[in-house]
Amino acid sequence: MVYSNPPLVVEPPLQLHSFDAGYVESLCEGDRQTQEHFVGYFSALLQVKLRSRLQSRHAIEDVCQETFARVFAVLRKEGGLKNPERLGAFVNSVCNNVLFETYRSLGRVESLDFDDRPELPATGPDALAIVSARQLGDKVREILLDMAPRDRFLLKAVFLEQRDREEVCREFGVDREYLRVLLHRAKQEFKTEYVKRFGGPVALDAGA
Amino acid sequence: MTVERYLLGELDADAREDFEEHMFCCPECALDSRVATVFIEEAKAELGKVAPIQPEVKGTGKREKGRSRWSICWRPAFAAPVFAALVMVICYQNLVTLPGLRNAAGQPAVVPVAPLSGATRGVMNTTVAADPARGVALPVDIPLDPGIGTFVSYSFKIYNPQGKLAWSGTIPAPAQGSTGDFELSLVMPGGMLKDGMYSVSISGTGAHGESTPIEHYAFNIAVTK
Repeated sequence: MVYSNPPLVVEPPLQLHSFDAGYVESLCEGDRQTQEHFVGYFSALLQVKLRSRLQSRHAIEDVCQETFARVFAVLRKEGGLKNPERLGAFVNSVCNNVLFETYRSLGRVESLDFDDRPELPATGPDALAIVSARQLGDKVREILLDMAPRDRFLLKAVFLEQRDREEVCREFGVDREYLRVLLHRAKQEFKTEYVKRFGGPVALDAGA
Repeated sequence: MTVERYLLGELDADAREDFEEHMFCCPECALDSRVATVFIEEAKAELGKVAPIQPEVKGTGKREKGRSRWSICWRPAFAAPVFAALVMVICYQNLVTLPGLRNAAGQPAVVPVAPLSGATRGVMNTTVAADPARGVALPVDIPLDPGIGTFVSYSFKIYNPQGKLAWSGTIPAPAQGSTGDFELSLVMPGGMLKDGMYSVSISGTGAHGESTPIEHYAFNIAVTK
C-alpha cells in the first residue's frame, strides 16, 4: 500500500463523534451542521482507504461522491439504516461496493480519470484552514529534523520513493518492526499538534 | 500498531478489510489513521528536500554516531594481525636480542690496537686501519704532572670526519700522589667508524669544575673491508 497522490492542501476539521440514532435522524432531516460533519468526517476516512487503491485524485473524488450519494439515498428511505451505531461500517460497505463496481467496469489497472467529465469547481480553503495547514507542516518538519538522518532517509525511501519495504529495510540494516515503531512514534508526536488544531474524539449530543 | 501495519501495507486482504471496517466505526482508530496519513503526506513534501546518501551500515541496524576514520583500527580484521606482529616482536626481543646483548656485554672482546704513537699531537698524520666488525682500541697516555694541574676527572671528546662531536665521556682521575702516565685505551666500536679524519680531545676537570686542555690527537681512519 503506497501513497502516490499529492497531499491535501488543507486538512478538513475532523471532529470525531459516536454515531447514534439522533445523529442519523439529524442527518436525514437535512441538518446542515450534521451533514457537514458527516461529509467531512467520512471524506477523510474514505481518502485514507482509497489512496491505496486508486491512482488519481479524480477517481478518489468520484468514488467518494458516489458513496455519499448512495448512503444518503438509503438513509432517506423509511427504515433505511436499521442500526445507527453501525453508520461507519455502512459507509465503508457502500464504498467497497462502489469500488468493486468501478474495478469491474473499467479494469483495475485503468485510471478512473474521465476526460469528458466536467471538473467540479474546487472550493478554496479559508484563511484559518491555510494557517492551520501551515502549522501542521511546521510540526512535521520539526519531527523530521529531530530524527536521526538515517531515519529520515528510511522514511523517504519508503514513502516518497516508494521502494520495496524489504529491500529498504535490508539496505538500512533494520527490520520491519523498526520501521513500524519509527512511524508510530512520529505519528504520536504529530497527533498532539493535530488534536490541538482539529480536535480529538468528542461525544455528539443527540439532536444538537 | 495495527494502524502502522495498515498504512505500511503489511496487512493481508482480510485483515485490511477488517481494519477498515473497524476504522470507520472506531473514533480513536479513525483519528490515528487520519493523523498518520496526514503526517505521511506532509513528510513526503519535506523529505523531497532531503539529499540522498548511502546507508551507513548494512545488516547491523545500528549506526555509530560520530564514528571516526580511526575506528577502523579497532576492527578485528585489522587489529588482530597487528597485535600478533607486536607480540612476535616483543618475544623476539626478549628471547633473542636482549640475551645476546647481555651475553656480549659479559664476554671479553678482542679489539685490535692502533697506537697513536708517532702522530704529531695536534696535527693529523697517522692512518689507523680499523676493522668494522671489531672496532679499534686507541692507547692514550695522560701525563700525571702536577705542573699541568690537579684534576678530579678527565673528559674525552671524539670528533668525526665532519667535525661534529661524535662521542664524549669522562673518567675519574687516579688518586693523588700517582706518578708516571695515566694509561688508557679509548675503544671505538666498528659501528661508528667511517673513512676520514677523526680527532680526540682530552681535558682535565678541576675540583671547582674548571676545564684544562691536556692532549689533542688527530688521525685518519681507514675502514678495512
